[in-house]
Parts: sequence; structure tokens; C-alpha cells
Amino acid sequence: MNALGNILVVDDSQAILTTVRICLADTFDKVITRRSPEDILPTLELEQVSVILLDMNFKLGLNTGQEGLHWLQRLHTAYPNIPIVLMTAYAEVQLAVKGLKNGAADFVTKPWDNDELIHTLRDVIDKQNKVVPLDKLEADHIRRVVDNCHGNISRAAEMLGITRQTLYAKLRK
Amino acid sequence: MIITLAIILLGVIIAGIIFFVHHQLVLRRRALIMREAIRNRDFTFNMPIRGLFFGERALQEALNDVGKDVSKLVEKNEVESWQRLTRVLTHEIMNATTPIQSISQAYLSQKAIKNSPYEEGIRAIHETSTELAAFVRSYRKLTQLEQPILSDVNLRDFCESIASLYQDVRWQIDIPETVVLRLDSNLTRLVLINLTKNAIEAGAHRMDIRWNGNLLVSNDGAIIPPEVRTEIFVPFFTTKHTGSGIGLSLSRQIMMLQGMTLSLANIPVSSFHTTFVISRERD
Repeated sequence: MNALGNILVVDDSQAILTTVRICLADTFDKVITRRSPEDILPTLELEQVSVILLDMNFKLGLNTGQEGLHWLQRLHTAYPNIPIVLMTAYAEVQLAVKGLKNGAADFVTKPWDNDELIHTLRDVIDKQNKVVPLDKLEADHIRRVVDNCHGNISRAAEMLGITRQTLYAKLRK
Repeated sequence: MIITLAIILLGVIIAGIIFFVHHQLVLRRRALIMREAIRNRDFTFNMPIRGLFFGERALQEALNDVGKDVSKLVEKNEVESWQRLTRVLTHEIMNATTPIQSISQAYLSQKAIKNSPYEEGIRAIHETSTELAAFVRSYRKLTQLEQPILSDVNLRDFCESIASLYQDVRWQIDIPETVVLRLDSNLTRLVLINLTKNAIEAGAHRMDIRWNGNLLVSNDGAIIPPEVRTEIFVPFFTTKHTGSGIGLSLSRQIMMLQGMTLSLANIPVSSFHTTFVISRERD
């Protein structure tokens, strides 16, 4: 059995779906393919998937990626724990940045090298599965709050609900 | 006495009529030349205003200006429609190449294919589709130009820094020290480097950059044949074996983004074979 579980691939092109079924067959337990983004949410109710590979463009002649971004936001809100990898035939840096800001785990461009695609998918799944120790989570959180307060320790301590001394102690660690 | 006066008057009137008719014929010939130019899609008339009355002169100047504006608009439209076309084509080709490249790659790693009679053919499919994708990727540049960051650039220093990169050609730079333009120096450097490389590939030994209100970049490389002159800015057009046809169209786009135009001068600077003109879109 593969450790990577199931993958859901959504693209309006049948040829692309056939492609991923062939090139990901040995990597995933099951490659689930859907042609319409409307089918994603119903599918997720029935199937357990560890990653979603989502095309950015679903309307013919439109290649702005808007539609993909829209679905990305909806999916990310409904299933924040399933990493979503975007794919596009038109690699635009701005679009990639927008995708990542909206919660995409990564980005691949068509045509891809199979090994790189598998590598990317494996990476995002690994990252998702990695359990962060509580200490690190706390340290990250504290650093973010202190940054937000522009280094104002009293304010940060107040926001975190601890005393300044405790915060100092934690920062020293 | 009266008769003499009458004859002189008559003479003046006849001379006047002859001059008037002649002048009208001159004007009509101008109109014909401009019509002919429009038929050839050349809108920069640049007709001289010598020998015209002041009203006609004003009219001719207005026509010259309109012509200049029209040709800039045409250039801009051309660039934009090429850009749109490239965008759509890139998208479609990349989508279509994906199954070919990816499935052939997957088959190549399968046991049933390795060392079978099919391996060589599948490998050819995979390699060709990979090359096609790389080829198309290089055209993406045309549609993905970054917005220029303009700053004041001292033109002479700027041109001299480019000349120092290419010391195999003899440079002549004639720009007053005071000329400062608002440019994105990184993008504009690409344009001048492109012009220089083209010139060197065309066998140039001398390059000349001078300022006469516009920037004139000349070289003594092979003359651009007349039938090619109108094509050189068209994307993908190339006469070189290994050329991509990107350089000049990309250069023109870069200048447009900065509110400038790049065009080929009808008459090169004397003692040179080719002159490119960089000018401000609005003077």
C-alpha cells in the first residue's frame, strides 16, 4: 500500500485526467478524477483524500485563473486540512502568488515532469502530516504576536494573557 | 500708355493663373503621394512644408502629425493583438502537450516498455513534446513583461556603460552630457543590448549612438532588405537560423511600456546602414 492515500484531480480536460491516472497510478492508492469543480464537495463527503490537484481554468477561452481561485477559496474554507495544489498551463507569477495567498499549498505548471509532480505532491502531504510539537507552535505564536506589537512587550503580554515576566522567560528560551 | 498698362495687367493676371494652377497641381501630387503611402500602410508622411503658403503649411503639419499618431497607434495595436494571440496559443499548446509529455514519460518507466520495440518511439514522442514545451515557454516572455520602474537616467553615461560591454565594435557616442530621460534602466539596457547583438550578428564593425531630440542607434552591419523592413518587429519573425523572432518585438514592447517608441529609420544616419530610432510617444 502507498503511504500517500488518495488524490482528487479536477480538470475540465479528459486528456489531463487520463494523464494523471496513468502517471500517478503507482504513487497513490486511488486517483479520483472529476471534470467539474461542482463535483468536488460531493466527492469529498464520500471519499477520504490526502491532496487535491486543482486546475485554475475551467471556462473555455478564459485563462485568468479566476475560477480556480474561487474554488480554491471555497475548498480551503470547507476542508482546511486537505492541501490543494494548483495547476495551470499559464505560469504567471502573480497568479501563483495569489493562489498561495488564498491557501494553495503549492503550484505546478503544465506540462510537468512526472517526477517533479510526484515530488511536489509528496512534499505537501508530508508537510500536512507533520505534527508540530507544542513548544514550537507556542514559540511561533509568541513571535508572531510580538512582531505584531512591533516589539512592545507589555502590549504583547497583555494580548497573550500572561505576565511580562512569563513572556520574557518564554522569549529567552 | 493705357494700352501698355492693360498689357502688363493682363500679363500679371495670366502669370497669376498659371502659378495658381501649377500650385494646385503640386498640392494634388502631395495628396496622391499621401494616399499611396496610406495604401502601403505607411502613415508617417513627413512631407516637407517648403514652398507652401502659411495656411497650407499648417494643414500639412497637421496631416504629418496625424500620420505620426496613426502609425504609433497601429504599432501599439499590433503589439497588443500579438500579445493576446501568444497568450491564448501558449495556454492551448501547454495544455495539449501535457498528456503527450507526461504519459510518454510514465510509459518509459514501465517494465513492459523498457527494452521493448516501442521504447525508441515513445522516447522520441517524449523528447519532442518536451522540446515543444520549452520552445513555447520562451515565448511567454512576450506576454509577461514586468511594469517598468522609471528613474532619471543620464543618457550618455548609460550608453557608454553598454558600449563598454561590447568592445569588439568601434563605438561613437554623441550625446550631450545634460540629456536625462525617465527610463527603467534595466529594461532599456536589454533593448540596447538586443540592438547591439543584432548588429554584431549582421556583421557590424561600427556602432553609433547620437541624440537629436530622439535617440538614434546606428550600425554598419548588413542592410535590412526592403521586403523585410516592415516585418522585423513582428513577433516570431526571424531571418536567422537560430533566431526566435522575439528580440525586436520584445524591445518595442519594452519601450512602449515606458511611453516610448522604437522604430526603424527610413534613412539611416550617414555612413551607416541601419538606424533605429527611440523617441518619446508624445513630444
